[in-house]
Amino acid sequence: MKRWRWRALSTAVLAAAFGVAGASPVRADEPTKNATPKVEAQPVAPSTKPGVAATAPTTKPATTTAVATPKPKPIPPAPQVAGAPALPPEFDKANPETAADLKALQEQVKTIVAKVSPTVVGLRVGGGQGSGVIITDDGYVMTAGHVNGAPGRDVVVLLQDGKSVKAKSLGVNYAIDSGLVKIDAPGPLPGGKWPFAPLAKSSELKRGQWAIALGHPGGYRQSRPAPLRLGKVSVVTPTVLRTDCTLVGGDSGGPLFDLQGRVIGIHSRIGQGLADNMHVPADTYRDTWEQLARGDSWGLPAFARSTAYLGVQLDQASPDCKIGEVFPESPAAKAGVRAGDVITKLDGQRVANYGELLLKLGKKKPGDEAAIEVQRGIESVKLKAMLTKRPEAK
Amino acid sequence: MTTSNSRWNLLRGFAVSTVALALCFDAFAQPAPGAERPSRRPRTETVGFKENPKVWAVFRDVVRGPGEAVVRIKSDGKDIALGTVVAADGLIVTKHSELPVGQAPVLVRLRDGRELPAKVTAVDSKLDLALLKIEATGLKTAEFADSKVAVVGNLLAAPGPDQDPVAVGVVSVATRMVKPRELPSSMPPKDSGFLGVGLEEAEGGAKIMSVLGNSAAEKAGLKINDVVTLIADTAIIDTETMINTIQHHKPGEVVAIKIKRDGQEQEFRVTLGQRPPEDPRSARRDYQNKLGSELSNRRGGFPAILQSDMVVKPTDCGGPVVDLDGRVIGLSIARAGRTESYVLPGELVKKAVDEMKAGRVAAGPEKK
Repeated sequence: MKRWRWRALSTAVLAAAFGVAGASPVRADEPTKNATPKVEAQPVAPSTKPGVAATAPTTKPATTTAVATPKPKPIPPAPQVAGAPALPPEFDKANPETAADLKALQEQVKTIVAKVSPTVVGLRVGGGQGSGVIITDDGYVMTAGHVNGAPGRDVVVLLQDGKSVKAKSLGVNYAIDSGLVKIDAPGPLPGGKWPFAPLAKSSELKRGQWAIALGHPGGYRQSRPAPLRLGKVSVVTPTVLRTDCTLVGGDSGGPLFDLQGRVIGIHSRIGQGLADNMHVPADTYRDTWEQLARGDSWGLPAFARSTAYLGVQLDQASPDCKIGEVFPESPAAKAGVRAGDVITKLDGQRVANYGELLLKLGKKKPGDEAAIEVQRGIESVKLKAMLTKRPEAK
Repeated sequence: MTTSNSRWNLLRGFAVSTVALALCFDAFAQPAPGAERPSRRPRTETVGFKENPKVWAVFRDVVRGPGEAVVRIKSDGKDIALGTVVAADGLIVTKHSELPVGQAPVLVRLRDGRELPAKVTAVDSKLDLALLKIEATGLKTAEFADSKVAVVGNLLAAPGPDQDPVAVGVVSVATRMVKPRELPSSMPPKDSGFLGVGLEEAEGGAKIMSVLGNSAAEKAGLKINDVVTLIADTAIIDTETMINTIQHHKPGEVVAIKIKRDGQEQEFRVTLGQRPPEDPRSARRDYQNKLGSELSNRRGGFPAILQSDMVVKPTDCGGPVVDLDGRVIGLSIARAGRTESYVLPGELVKKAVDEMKAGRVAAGPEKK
């Protein structure tokens, strides 16, 4: 299977594609021998020697010594599963049975929350807000794929103490909804290190096991520490965990911990019931660490690749079709669509909200023309865009 | 569940039986449904924590004592709230905004099964508390403690009228002061009247900052900078009182509104209008929060709250909240969102109850 990657992701088209296809995840994670190093989405790994990795070997002058394989930028090894002291015997029971059991649970939860809270962060990406958790001392942050949106985006990381630092989004697995972010700044600990949470092996989780959820429901608020939710694991599969730790918008990307303070999952999505809270299992981040850290994106159904591409990102805080970002060189950019425009019509048909735009765009093909009407301030502007195929990695 | 918005229909389409929503705040990006098909899931929820009867049973000892001070508040044959007995001779504190609009009778059902008529004797609009009086003596009372003892991670339970608690959970965020706009705004009751003004706090009342075109306020002649001091027989001390008071009248009702304009007192008779349809923006923001549970109409305007992940039904607000040591650290004041219920800190409740008992409350339907 051919490996491919998006440089600029149109969220609208992505969701439309899923809406129609719902196909099993397409993964393109087998090693690709002739892959060139990806420059723009690379993490700034501290150990990188300058000038070595950023050049594609095929463009090197002939005088270069012939080497068997090009050296990609070094990627730090995946964080390992951390051991933890065993829990007190009270936790062997399926449910607390006595007041003493409740006390033991309370004490354990309090100890762990105090310990892991500094690792829980808020994330601002484009117009969206989500959460994340720092998992290495050099500032790698686990989050949800849909919080990242695409590799190489600017991210603001909001810390527990109210400070914020810059970061970049790295890889995304759209199918399982995993994503990785790298903080570009030194941490507050000696040696510029970051406080980080260890990982547990999510495949070893048991149904009925306690879980602690932290995150920023409704978005990060400086006056409010990440609210704690306590619950139990009810479903464990390789692709999803389910708990009754209630989640809501803004929690996405936030961590699910075991009672020993190790990350077991990342908040992803909810269903209708209060017990329908889904998390990405922690194991997938270790299993696909190299792709995530390298800035790959994968996992889209084949359908998504044949849909027409407009090249806009919607303003996520707006109830209508307000454009937050127009990607350079995209059909939208060439047509003259600007950030802040509100799309009101597509091909003469009214577009009241995002869902309607999705449906209408999803029916079009690369090469089709799209008549777009936008509201720009008090003006209504008519534009024509020539839809293309989604750009692939060069 | 509302599906008026095509976005949600679309989501439904791909999520098969469950609306799988991405949790990026107000986000549009949706994760793939992945391999997991929610429809295949077993529906047994006995492994959970907060909705697990086995877990509730363990809390019986914790809630037994304070539970004796819990009463059920009813109106029109329906459970509308819980109440907490604060004086043995029949004084009960409850959540004001759950009480019926107008003169509908309120009943209190005691633990022994007796149902007695109740009278509202005082209201604290800021805290959304009402003091009820019933003709009874020798009732068990609750003693509100300082919420400082309840730190993040402490287990909590809300005693109900029976032996099991109505909710259990943890302290999600310890007691904190909240800014007026930090908490969600009230969801007005469906049949509540509408004035059509924007408000700001002002000395001695609520100041009108904007008047909606063609609204009840405009038709009556209310103007920007008018300071509202009295509506019907309720003294207006702040914007919260004003909003609550308007919401306690019905569309079409004529109310007398006293204002101060250029230092002069004036009175207007206003025919309250119909509330316009909900703003789609707030509707969408509320959608995820409403998934899985009903929310209280009034969720904001409190000066301080303790946030919990307990699932307290709106009709179970007004009752006490206890920690594992049986201390009453506060009163359930709102089901605020999918992840949160708000507890009014015990120290605030205690002070408000004392002032209501002493008749030192500025705002109440019985006072001018």
